Amino acid sequence: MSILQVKELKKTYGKGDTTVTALDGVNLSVNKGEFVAIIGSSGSGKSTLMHLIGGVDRPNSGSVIVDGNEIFKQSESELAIFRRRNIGIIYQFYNLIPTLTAEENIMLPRLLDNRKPDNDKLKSILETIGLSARAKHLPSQLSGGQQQRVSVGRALINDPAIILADEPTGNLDSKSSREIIELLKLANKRYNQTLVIITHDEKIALQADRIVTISDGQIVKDEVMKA
Amino acid sequence: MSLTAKLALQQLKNNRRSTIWSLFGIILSVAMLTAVGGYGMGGAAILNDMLTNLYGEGTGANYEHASHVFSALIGGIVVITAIIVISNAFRVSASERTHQFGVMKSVGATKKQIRSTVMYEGIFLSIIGLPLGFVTGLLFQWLAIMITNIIMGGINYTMGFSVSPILIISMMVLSFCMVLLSAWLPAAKAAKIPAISAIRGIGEVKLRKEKPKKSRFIGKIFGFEGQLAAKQLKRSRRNFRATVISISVCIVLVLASVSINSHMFAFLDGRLEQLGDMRYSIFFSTANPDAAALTVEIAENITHKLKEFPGAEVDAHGSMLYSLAPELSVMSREDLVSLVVLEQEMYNRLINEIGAAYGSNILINVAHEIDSEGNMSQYNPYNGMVGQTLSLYPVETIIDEGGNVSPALGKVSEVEITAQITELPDDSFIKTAYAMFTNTKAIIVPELNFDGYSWIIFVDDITGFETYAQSVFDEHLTLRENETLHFMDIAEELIITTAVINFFSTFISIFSIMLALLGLTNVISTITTNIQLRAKEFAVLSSVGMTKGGMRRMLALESLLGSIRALIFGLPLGIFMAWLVYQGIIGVFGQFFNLPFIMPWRASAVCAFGVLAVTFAIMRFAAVSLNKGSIIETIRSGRIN
Ligand SMILES: Nc1ncnc2c1ncn2[C@@H]1O[C@H](COP(=O)(O)OP(=O)(O)OP(=O)(O)O)[C@@H](O)[C@H]1O
Ligand SMILES: [Mg+2]
Repeated sequence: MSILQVKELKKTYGKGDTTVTALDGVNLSVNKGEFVAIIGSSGSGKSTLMHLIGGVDRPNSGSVIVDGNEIFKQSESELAIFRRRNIGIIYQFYNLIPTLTAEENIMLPRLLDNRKPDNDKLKSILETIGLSARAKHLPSQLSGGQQQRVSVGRALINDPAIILADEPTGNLDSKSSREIIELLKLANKRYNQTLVIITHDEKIALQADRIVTISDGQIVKDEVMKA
Repeated sequence: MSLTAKLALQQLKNNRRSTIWSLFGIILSVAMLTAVGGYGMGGAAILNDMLTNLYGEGTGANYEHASHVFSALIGGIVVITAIIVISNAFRVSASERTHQFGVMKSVGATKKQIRSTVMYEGIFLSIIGLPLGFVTGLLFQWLAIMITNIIMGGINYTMGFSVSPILIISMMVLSFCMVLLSAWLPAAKAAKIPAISAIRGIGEVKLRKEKPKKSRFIGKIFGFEGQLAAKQLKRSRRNFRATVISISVCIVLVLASVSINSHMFAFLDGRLEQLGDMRYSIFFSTANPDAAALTVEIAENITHKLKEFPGAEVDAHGSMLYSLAPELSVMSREDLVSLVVLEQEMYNRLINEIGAAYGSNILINVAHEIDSEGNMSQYNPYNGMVGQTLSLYPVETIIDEGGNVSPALGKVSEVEITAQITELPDDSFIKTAYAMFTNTKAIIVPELNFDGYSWIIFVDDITGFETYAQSVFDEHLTLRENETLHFMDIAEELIITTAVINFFSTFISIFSIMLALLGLTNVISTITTNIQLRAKEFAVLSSVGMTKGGMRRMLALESLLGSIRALIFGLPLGIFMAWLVYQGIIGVFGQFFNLPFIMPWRASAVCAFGVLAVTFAIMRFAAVSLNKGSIIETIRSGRIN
């Protein structure tokens, strides 16, 4: 069953002579529980695609359907609510709220939903990401890898339909990178979490179920690694 | 051009958005400084003119002193406000620049190089910003003067448009220094912290102990967004401090100006009532009370003659000022005592009425008081003074060979108070004495060597009185050396007093509006700056699923909490300022009657409501501009890490 469908997605930046076509008719379908790696050279449109799937940017044309919802047909606040419940985004540069502590940052999507702060869940996530001792620290008091682990925690808290990660390890040393990927894979295995990762790291890509290659705004290759 | 200058120019060109923002801030604050300074000085000069015309040189200086204190006060507020506006203008780019200076340091720039880049930036910005701001300021000043003159259309004084070179130069220097300072602060900050921390952007966020109960309470009422707002406010106090200060300054300005107006108008109402139907006064004064040309007999003859003018009633008394304090240097207004001598017939009527023996020294124990509506009432200011014996030192006038006049205390004499008037008799026979001496202690004595003598004339039709009065005096009195005779049309005095007060309060109102506008720009710039600095934070919140409605709720609560904090600071400070202003006013006008402090309740309520509404509106408005770009673009160009 496909949890994500991308149809004829087009996105251009700029006007006139300086127009850049970042995505040029992308079609993609991802099943529930799949771990997909997206690779491609710099400037090929990977981040653009991810932002559109995550609903933080709008396409020129085409559609994105997540869990049966055509996201760009939704109003802005419907989309926001959809994001907090169904999508977990992890950026290369953590993007945490500087005034909130690690645990507050993790709880953010859940609290925004006015749901009860589920302490057991928080505890288990903090344990999983190995930050139980740092829960009350501000982002500025954490290392890069720790901050990224917080943003992984934030992506996991609401059991979203899809986790999107844009070079989540691009800023980290190899040990931290491995930890983050293990974390994500764990979620993928344990909770059957759908995972879309953009990466330049071949080793990471090879651990995925599927590798999608983008070039010049188009999907040029789509290989299934495991049966 | 040196490398650092080139770097500075490059920075200004590339970072166009923050350059424009900074320029705007500089222009605005220089404009406001110029306008407020120019208008204030012009107004003070006219006021001084009017008062000198009205009350003579001496009192003019008294008012001038008050207006100097006042100018210094306002000048201080203007400078503080301007500093806030200009440094706000730089704050948007400041965090960016701290990062950038960190990078420059890490590639080997020396502190000196960074410093000089910043200096050049300030200089370039000033070259454009200062003249533009100055011209805009003159425009504002001209506008304010036009409005004043239109409102003041009735009277003979018009405010002229003048530009004082000293003012210009000091404004320019002040503004330039502030620009440099504001540009300098982020560089100083970057210089202080290690390069890598500057690059990583270790922020100004601090964790403090928080009461979980309070936050739960806010959460119940305002939802999670409310809790977020409360946290934001708590943890980045520095960002909000500027807002709180600017709002407080605004409140202080409004309350101070309201205080000036309400007290001045209460004074005017009271003075009009106090002077009642007096129409004309003639005042004799001498520097030699022992050998005055005017004796009690001559004075009574003159009174009789004046009464012959058709329809005229005349009230006369002589007086001499004494001090309870033995030294001039320690003398205050409370120490002043006037001894008053009435005409024989009146004195007799008075002792009859109050049942006192001939020879009694009678304390005037009635004074005027005015309430906030300007209604006048009587009260008894002194307690238990009958039976006391006072040691009084006469306040004499010493005239040296050069003709300079100075006060000095003479030989002590003892006066026992033997009776008092506690209620003003209905007919006017001592009304004028009372009106003259209310609010200084006055004792009516049977005999006195006076240094001043007044005749107050009540008459419906005053035409021809002045010539008649002059002929009477020519006939009965030849002035000796150091003696003067002063004729005054009271009705005219009242017209001028009214005009002065009208002018003053118009002037103050417009001046306050200008200052409040300055404060408002300040509040606007602080809040929008704050919101801009947090653009990326908002985008991140939105990307993890905060709706626009949630964002609005969060901002609404932030402005509510921020406003409340500003009110907690600003209102008491504003009321204190109103009280200071009141002190200044009674220092000048308190000699006529008691003027109680009028508490600015209504203005405070209006302020509280206004602050809430304004901050809320500005927050909303600033947030609208945030929603324009797409989330991801804001995150990418964002300012926080
Ligand atoms: N805001 C923007 N304005 C203009 N052009 C943009 C913008 N964002 C992206 N682009 C262009 O769109 C194209 C795709 O960009 P995108 O960020 O998706 O690439 P990417 O595959 O993520 O590259 P990288 O691996 O370097 O992160 C690039 O050519 C880029 O220059
Ligand atoms: Mg990218």
